[in-house]
Amino acid sequence: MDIEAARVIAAGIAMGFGAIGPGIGEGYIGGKALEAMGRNPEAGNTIFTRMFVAMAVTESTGIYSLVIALLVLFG
Amino acid sequence: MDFSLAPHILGTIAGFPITNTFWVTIFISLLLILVFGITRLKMRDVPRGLQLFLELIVEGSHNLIKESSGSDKVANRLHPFALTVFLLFIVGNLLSFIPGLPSVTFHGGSFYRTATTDYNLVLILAMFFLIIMQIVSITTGGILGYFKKFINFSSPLNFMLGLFEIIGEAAKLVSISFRFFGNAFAGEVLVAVLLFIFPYILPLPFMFIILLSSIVQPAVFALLVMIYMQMAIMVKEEKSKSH
Repeated sequence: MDIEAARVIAAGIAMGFGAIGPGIGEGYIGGKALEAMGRNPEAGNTIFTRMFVAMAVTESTGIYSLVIALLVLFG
Repeated sequence: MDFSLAPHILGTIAGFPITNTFWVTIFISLLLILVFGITRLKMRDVPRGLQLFLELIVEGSHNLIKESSGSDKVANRLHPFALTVFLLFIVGNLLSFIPGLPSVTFHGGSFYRTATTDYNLVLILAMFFLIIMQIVSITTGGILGYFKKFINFSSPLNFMLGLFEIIGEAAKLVSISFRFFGNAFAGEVLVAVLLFIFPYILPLPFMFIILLSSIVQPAVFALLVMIYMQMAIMVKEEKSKSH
């Protein structure tokens, strides 16, 4: 296999698999946050900021694979 | 399309390479110092205009830290660093939304490049922050308490947990810097790729997502700085309660 083709395939695999976990995790966080806001609308603002922090932390594994994919492609 | 992870070198001053992200970072820092300095000198009792806006930012973030840390003293110490990092990153990110900036070229490379798409800046800031965190941890928990967190012979389980703690500290460096760099750099690459597929129309909805993430990510960085610092300080409070 050509080395360039291998790099492109590797970047695709890394990004594709890396997106699965954060996708599930962020959906779960968003759903739970909406549930909590529906139950207690007054606490909406604090829940919203905490949801963002939790989402950013969950997202990190996805971003690791993104950085690896970018490194493989352009590095 | 060509993207490079390394910034373009514009020239050298006494052997020190000046890259495009370097001057942008210096420019943003000077801009922030100037804006805040001039506002401070011309401070009025009744704020209006720019002073009102800056007071809103400073007081709002101070209140946010005070609420989450629960003490005025901790908030006063954490606030300057967290807000400075936040402002540097958010201005750096939002500067890239000025149209036409990257098309100015110099010596075959772009003259402007968003400061946060250079891994060096994010890595140095994350490193600096982690060193401050270790110092805070030592000064509040004592040097013995600090090393006890990492090397603990009281039981095999605690020894293993201490080793994991060392890995955890190193992982913080990677996790903080990669998160920020990944977001900023991926935004640029995504827009460039979409411009290639369908110019002008297709990148627009993605620009909104990138705008959102370029505002949220600095806030998350500042919040993480705050949470990690509170975790470093917390060690002492638990001890003083048990005495």
